[in-house]
Amino acid sequence: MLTFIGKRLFQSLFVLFGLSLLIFFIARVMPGDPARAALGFLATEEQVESMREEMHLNDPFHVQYYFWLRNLVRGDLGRSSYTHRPVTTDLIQYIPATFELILFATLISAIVGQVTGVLAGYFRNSWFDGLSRLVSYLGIATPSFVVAIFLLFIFSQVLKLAPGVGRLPIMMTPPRTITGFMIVDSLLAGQPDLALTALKHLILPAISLAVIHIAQEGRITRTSIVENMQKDYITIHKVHGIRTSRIMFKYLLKPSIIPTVTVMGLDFAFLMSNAFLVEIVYMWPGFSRYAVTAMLNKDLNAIVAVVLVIGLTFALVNLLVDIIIMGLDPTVRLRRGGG
Amino acid sequence: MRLEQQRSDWMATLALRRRRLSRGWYKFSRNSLSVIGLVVLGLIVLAAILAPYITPYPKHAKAYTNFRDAGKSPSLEHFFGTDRVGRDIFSRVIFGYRFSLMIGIVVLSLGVAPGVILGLIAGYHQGTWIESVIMRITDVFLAVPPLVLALAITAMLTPNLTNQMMAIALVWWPWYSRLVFALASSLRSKYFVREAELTGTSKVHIMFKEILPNCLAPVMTKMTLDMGIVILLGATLSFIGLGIQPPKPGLGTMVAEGAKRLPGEWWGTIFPALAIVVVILAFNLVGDGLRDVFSVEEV
Amino acid sequence: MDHLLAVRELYVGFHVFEGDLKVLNGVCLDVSEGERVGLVGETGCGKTTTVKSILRVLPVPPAKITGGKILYHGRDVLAMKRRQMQALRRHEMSAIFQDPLQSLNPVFKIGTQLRDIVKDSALGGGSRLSRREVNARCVEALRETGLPDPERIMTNYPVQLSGGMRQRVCIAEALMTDARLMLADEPTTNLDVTIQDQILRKLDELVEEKNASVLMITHSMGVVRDLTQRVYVMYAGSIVEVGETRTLLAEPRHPYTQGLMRSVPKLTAEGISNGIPGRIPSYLDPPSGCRFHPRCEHAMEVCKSESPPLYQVGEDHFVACYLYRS
Repeated sequence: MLTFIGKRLFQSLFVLFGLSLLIFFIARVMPGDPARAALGFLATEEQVESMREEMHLNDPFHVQYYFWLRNLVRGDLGRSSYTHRPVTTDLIQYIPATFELILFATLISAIVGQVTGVLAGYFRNSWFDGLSRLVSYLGIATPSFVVAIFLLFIFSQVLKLAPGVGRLPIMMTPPRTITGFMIVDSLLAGQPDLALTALKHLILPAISLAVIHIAQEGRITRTSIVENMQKDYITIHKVHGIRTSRIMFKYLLKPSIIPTVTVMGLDFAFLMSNAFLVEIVYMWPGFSRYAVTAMLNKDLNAIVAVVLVIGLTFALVNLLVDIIIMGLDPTVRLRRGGG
Repeated sequence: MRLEQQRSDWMATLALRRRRLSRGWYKFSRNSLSVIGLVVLGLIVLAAILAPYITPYPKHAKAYTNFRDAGKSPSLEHFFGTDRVGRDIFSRVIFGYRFSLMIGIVVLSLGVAPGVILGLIAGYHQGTWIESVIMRITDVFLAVPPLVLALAITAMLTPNLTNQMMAIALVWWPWYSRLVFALASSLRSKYFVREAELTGTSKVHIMFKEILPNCLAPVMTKMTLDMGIVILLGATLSFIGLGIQPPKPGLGTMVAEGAKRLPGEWWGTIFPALAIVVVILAFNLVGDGLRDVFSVEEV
Repeated sequence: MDHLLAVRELYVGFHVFEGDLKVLNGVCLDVSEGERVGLVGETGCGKTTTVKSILRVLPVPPAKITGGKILYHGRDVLAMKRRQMQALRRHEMSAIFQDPLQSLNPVFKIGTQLRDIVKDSALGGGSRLSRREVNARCVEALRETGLPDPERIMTNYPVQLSGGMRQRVCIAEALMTDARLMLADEPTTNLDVTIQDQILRKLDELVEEKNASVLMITHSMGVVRDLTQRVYVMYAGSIVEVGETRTLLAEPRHPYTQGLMRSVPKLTAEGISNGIPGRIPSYLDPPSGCRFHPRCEHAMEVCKSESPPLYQVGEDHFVACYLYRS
């Protein structure tokens, strides 16, 4: 198992290297002058030129890459030409907000998606199945920003049920930042009602993010369940007397969620990319919005750092998913071992 | 004599193909949703092609302002209402479909072929350095969600329709490589490939005449489903401002513009948003139907 | 005579693209208490469909039961409500299928599956037994089938066992529930030839001990001869001959059965037979009357118009053939 993890991490490192090269290359190839962008249009030509020297922009490609790599190993991701702060500071500030959102969305989609998938599959062709099929078709077809706008429109503005944009209402002061997670920090600061408000603000954006995944994963689970229901072993379980609820939620569920878990890993990537659309609509001060701003402003260091962070997260999540699958499906595990 | 033989062979093949087609249609039509999707898709494509002729206000799709008619709610004259500079939203949505469909077609044309070919080569030469190189490159492109990469690329170039399409195509080919690689490498060990190798058939022939036909079904299904996702991606990029630039009527662009006027003039956002959902939904339904067509039924 | 299981005039069809397949064509079958009955026929003749109909596990669309009754202890299984059927299955019936790898849930340990059967089927107070007792029961059941080291097997996953061991586990599972009727669908066909015999003998022994009834589906005459007391011969969805095993095998009466017996290569025969000319009919458009008539050298006019009833030709020997119309 450990060798497996080790091998995977090594592979990921390799891939991330390739990725950084790719992004670096594209970043250098693009038109525009990052030095000028960093200093603004009021800077003089000399200032811009010395900035170019500082940023190693006049050096050949491999030299630039070398410097960047050296800094990376030291933990220095450069300075953002937009916020003028070290990129690392920006990341530390913004990542937790997005993480909170993504975590919540994953939780919602996992629970709601699996439950509806199991029920739809088991009660195949019932009204529930038909309804959930319809809803899931819509869910897959609707871009997250559309969902986000819809939900905001309906629940916040028309029905006035949910709070509006942002992590907290404008009037409220946020708690002291320890983890960066609003809810956790509020609880740690001994302000549970603040935590509750933060939670309320989290709901709509999390749901907006989760919708497409509930739709997709639920359907895969459903298909899986329908397929597995035909299998001989389920018939044998039935005939020999295992009770229906146990069959449904244990013997049918476990083999059926394996394909779903695989998809969840892939979906996580989409979750990360859709997060920024939701962040834009809900004015969430998160990592994804930072990423988009960086890209729009040709903030080189930030762009490269952002892409790497996403790549790394994705690789880790995939690894996690693979480990979980090995845990769920002994055939995978045992075939690897031998026999 | 030979001519007659050839002719009867050809007739038999034709009959077989016709039968396969009708069986395929049977499987497809069993799913009424897929048929609805096909009909809707047909209508959309038709509308997009005939856009200048069937829309009530074709000129509104270009730069046009008429502040007198600005901000009107949906009515008989303007089915979807007008936007803040007075343009008819319905006409713009139809023209917007042109862009959406074009993005889908261009991206897939550019991206699928290289992806499939690379996947074939890699799958056939499994275990050699050729495979390693191709698949590592694929892995790099797949290490990051497609949206992020497309975003990064588009952002660094000038944002417009062409760059957007190239960026998405660049991001899209690896998925096909991976799919075809998996298919080709599993087919590689099947008997018919080994036979062909033993009889000395050229590698190119094996790859394209033996392995490729077996990959077509999943590839085609994926392409149909991908049309929806590519259109979604395009709309998303336009929404952020990195795709189709105003005053062109990109669907995503319209949603972004209209969003500023929520909740008051909701029609500016809601209708283009619905239009996006409808076209993606149609592609998804058709793709699902195709999947049913290619599935093997067991009795 | 109150049979344990009585299938009466069962008609089952399947709906596919090309149309409706009329598979089972008035099947009649009896199994008495403690009796071991064989059901013989070529692949595709409807044996598995019959079994699945008895268990009521046919996928109902596309399958369709178009007529007949299945009586268990006199009660019509087809007319029962779901809950009654479930209770019946759980307490009275058990099944063994052809492929032991497919018959065991691949992602759970053997022990887990067996323990849940004990707990849920309320054998001797199922849910009230302690964990140790449940475990002991399972281990005992495994041991009875001749498996060495049953405790370790309880902790294994199905992929870790060999084919023969897996089938023994399935047998243990089937016998654990003290069912009165066991439906075995080609239990040894997928196993190595060297093991087939062993497993069959063990099955025979265990069934005898429990005095259970068995409906054994097979396409092997050898299995029929060794294990069954009575046998039904099936062709294209109809029962063509039924009788006491030894008598039927020694003196097959139906032309199809005769053809089958001829096809089995014997060491003492002069040569290898040509088999039975023709092919199994299509279920889409089956032959009218007796479904075997297109391949039968004795076919008469009447054979084409109506399906022959069973005529008695011996004390416990019936044939569905107009040749024996007396």
